[in-house]
Amino acid sequence: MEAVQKKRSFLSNLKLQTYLMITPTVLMIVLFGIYPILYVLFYSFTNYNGMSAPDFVGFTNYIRVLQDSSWWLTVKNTFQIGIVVSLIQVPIALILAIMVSGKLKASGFFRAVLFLPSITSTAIMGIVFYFLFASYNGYVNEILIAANMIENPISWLGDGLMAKGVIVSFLSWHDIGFFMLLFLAALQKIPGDVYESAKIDGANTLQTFMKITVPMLGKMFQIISMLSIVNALKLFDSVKSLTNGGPGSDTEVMTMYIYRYFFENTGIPQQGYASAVSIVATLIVGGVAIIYLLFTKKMNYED
Amino acid sequence: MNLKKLAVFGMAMTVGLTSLVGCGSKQEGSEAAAQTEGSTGSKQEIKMWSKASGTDPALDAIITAFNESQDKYTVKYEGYGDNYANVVNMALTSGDAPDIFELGGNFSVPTLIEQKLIAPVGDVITEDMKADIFEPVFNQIELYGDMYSIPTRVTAFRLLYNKDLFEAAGLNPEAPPTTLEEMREMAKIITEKGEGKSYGFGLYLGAGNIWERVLDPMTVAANVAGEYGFDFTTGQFDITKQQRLLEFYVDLAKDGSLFPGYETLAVDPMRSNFAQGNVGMYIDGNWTSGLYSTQIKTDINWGTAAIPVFADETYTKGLGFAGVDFAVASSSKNQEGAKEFLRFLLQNSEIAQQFKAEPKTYLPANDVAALPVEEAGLQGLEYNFKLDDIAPLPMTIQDNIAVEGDNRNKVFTNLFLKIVTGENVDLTKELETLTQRYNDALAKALEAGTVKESDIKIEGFKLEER
Repeated sequence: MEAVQKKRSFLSNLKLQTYLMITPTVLMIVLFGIYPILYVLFYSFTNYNGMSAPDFVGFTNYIRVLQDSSWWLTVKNTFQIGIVVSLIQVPIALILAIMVSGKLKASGFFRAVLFLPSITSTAIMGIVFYFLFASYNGYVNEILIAANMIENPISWLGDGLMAKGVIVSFLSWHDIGFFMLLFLAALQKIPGDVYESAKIDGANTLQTFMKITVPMLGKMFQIISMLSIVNALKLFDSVKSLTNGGPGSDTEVMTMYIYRYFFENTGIPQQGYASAVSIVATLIVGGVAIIYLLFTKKMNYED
Repeated sequence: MNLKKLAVFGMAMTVGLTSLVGCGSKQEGSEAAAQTEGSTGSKQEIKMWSKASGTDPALDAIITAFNESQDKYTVKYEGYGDNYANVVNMALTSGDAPDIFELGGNFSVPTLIEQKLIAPVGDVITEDMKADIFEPVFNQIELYGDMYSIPTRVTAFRLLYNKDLFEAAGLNPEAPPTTLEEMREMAKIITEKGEGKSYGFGLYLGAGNIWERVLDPMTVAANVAGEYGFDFTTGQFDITKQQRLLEFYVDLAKDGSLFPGYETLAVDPMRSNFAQGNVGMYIDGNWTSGLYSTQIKTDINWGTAAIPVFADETYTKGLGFAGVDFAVASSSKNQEGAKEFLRFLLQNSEIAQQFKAEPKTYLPANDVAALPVEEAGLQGLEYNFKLDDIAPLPMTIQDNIAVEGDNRNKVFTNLFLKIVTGENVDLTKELETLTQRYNDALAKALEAGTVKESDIKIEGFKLEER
C-alpha cells in the first residue's frame, strides 16, 4: 500500500512533469541564446582575430566604439528608418484593423489580402523590390514613364534619402498586415456595450475612436508599438537584399555594420572589436525598449 | 488513473530527454560515418576544401585521375562557397581541419604560419617541375624561407569589351582602348549611340573589393604604386598616389557613361548585364573565359584586353595573383598524401584542358597555343591567358593588418559617391588621413611581428622590374 502511494505521488508530481516538459526549450535558450551572448561579451574585452588565442585589452574596444563615426552614422540611419517606419506602420495598422473588424462579408477576404505580405520572406521580397526600383529596366520607372509622369528614369536606390524611402515603403508593405492582425485581436477584447452607450450618447466616429478605442487598447497598443520599434532597430535582411547598405553607407544599419566587421572586412579579422560593437548595439536597443516602456506606462488602462 | 499518470509522466520524460538523445545520436552518426569513410578499403582519405561555390568538372577530373592512378590515397573534394573563411577558421581552431584547403577568402598567411596551422610545402615542387612553372608566383608565396601554399592558377584583371557594341558605335571592334583617355572617349560614344539601352562602362560599386579590381591593377601596371598605394621601397602606404585614378572614375560618372545603378551594382548583375549586351566595357578577372561559357550564357561577341593606363604612363607588368592556392594543414595526418596530390595536380593539368566548360590555367599549361580555343568555343582566351605581361607583387600587405575604421574600399566608394553627387570634398586631405590609418595599422602589425620589415621594405625595389 505504501509503495503504491509513493509511486503515485512521484508520478503525479506536477512540478516534475512541468520541469521536464520545459527542459528542451530552456536548454535551447541557454545554449543558443545566453551562452553565445556571454561568449561575445568575453570577446569584446579582447583582441581576437579568429585564430590566435584572445588577448585581453580591457575597455579599449569600447572606447574605440564611442569614437567610431561610421558606427554612429549607422545608428543614426537605423533610428531614422526605425522611427519613420513605426510612425507609419502602427497608425495605419490600427486604422486598417478597425476597418476590417466589421461584420462585412468581404472583411475576411481583406484581412487575408492585407496579411499576405507578412508571410513572405523579407530577404527574397527585398530582392524583388530591388528589381522593381532598379535604375535600369526597373518596373516602377517603366510604369511611371509609360504613364508620362516622368521623362527620365529615377535613380531610386542611388540617392541616400530615396533609398531610405524605398526601404520604409518596403517594410510598411511587408509588416502592416501582421500588426493589423495583432490590433484586431486587441479590438475584439473591447466590450461592445461601451460602443453602444457611446452611440446613444451621440459620439461621432472620431470621438469614439479617440476617446474609447485608443484608451481601451492601452496595453496592447504599447506592446505592438514597442514590437514595431524594436523590429525596426534589428533590421537586417531587408536592407541587405535591397541596398546592401548603399549607396555608400547611406542605408547601412547597425546590424549590417556588425555583420560587415565580422564577415566582410579585409585584413586580419577584428572580432574582438565587432563583439564590442554588438554589445553596444544590444544596449542601445534594450535602452530604447526600456525608455519606451517607462514613457508609456500610463497606457495601461487595466492597471 | 495510474495508467494515465504513467503515460503523462512517460511523455514528460521523453520530451525532456529528447534534447540530449537527439544531440548524442547526431554525434554518433557522424563518428560512425567518419570511421567508415576513413577506412574505404585500405585507402587513406584526404579531405580537400575550396571556396568554389559551383561544381568544378576540371578539378573533379584531375581528382578522379589521381585516385585511380594509385591505391594509397583517395581525395575527397568539397566546395564551401560563401562563408568559406569562417568555416575553415572554425575547423582549424577546433582541430577538425581538412587536409588540404584553399587560401582564398582573406586569410592572413603569416598568422596561419605563426599559429603553426599550415605546413611548409616547398618539397611539392621538384627541380624538373620548375621549368614548366610560371616563376613569378614564387615571389608571392614564399615566406620565411619556404613555400606555404601551392598556387594552381595565375589570376589577373582584364578589360572586357563588347565587340558588337563597338561596331554599332562606329569603333573598331578589334582595337580596344589602350589608354584611359581613349577608354573615356569610347565610353562616351557608346553611351550616346546606346540611347539609354546600352552604356559605355560598367562600374560595380556593390562589389566589396571593387577598387582592387578597377584601380589597383592600373596603379601597378603603370608603376605608380602597389596595391592600396603601397611603396615597397619605403615600406609604407601612400594612398594619395591613387587620387588621379579615383578622379578619372568620377569623370566617367559625370560624363554619364556609367551603367545606371552603379551605386549598388553587385558583380553578378554586372556580369549578366554585360552578357545581355547592355555594357560596352568593364573590368573583371581572367577567369571570365570559363564563366561566360558555363554559368552565364551569352550571345554577344566579346574580347579581352590589357588594362589601360594614362597616356603619359607606360604599361609594364599588370597585377597578377597566385590564384586558387592550396595549403596543407599542420594537423593533417596525411601530409605526404596531400603533397603527392598537389604534385599530381600541377603535373597533370592537361586533363583539365579537355573540358569545354572551364579551362583552368594550371601553372604548367599557360601555353595559349595549347588551349583548345576553337573546339571549346570560348571567347577572350588569348588575352585572358597571356602571362607574359603580368607579375605578382611581393606581398598582399592589406590582408595582414587590422585597420581601425572603414577600409580603403569603403572609403573610396563613399568619397566617390560624395563627389559625384556634388559635395565639396578635399580629396587629397581625405586620402592623407586614410594613408595615416593604414600606416598606423602597419606599425602595429610590425610591432606584433605579424609582418616582418624585410618582407615589405625591399632595397632598390622597382615595380617595373619584378
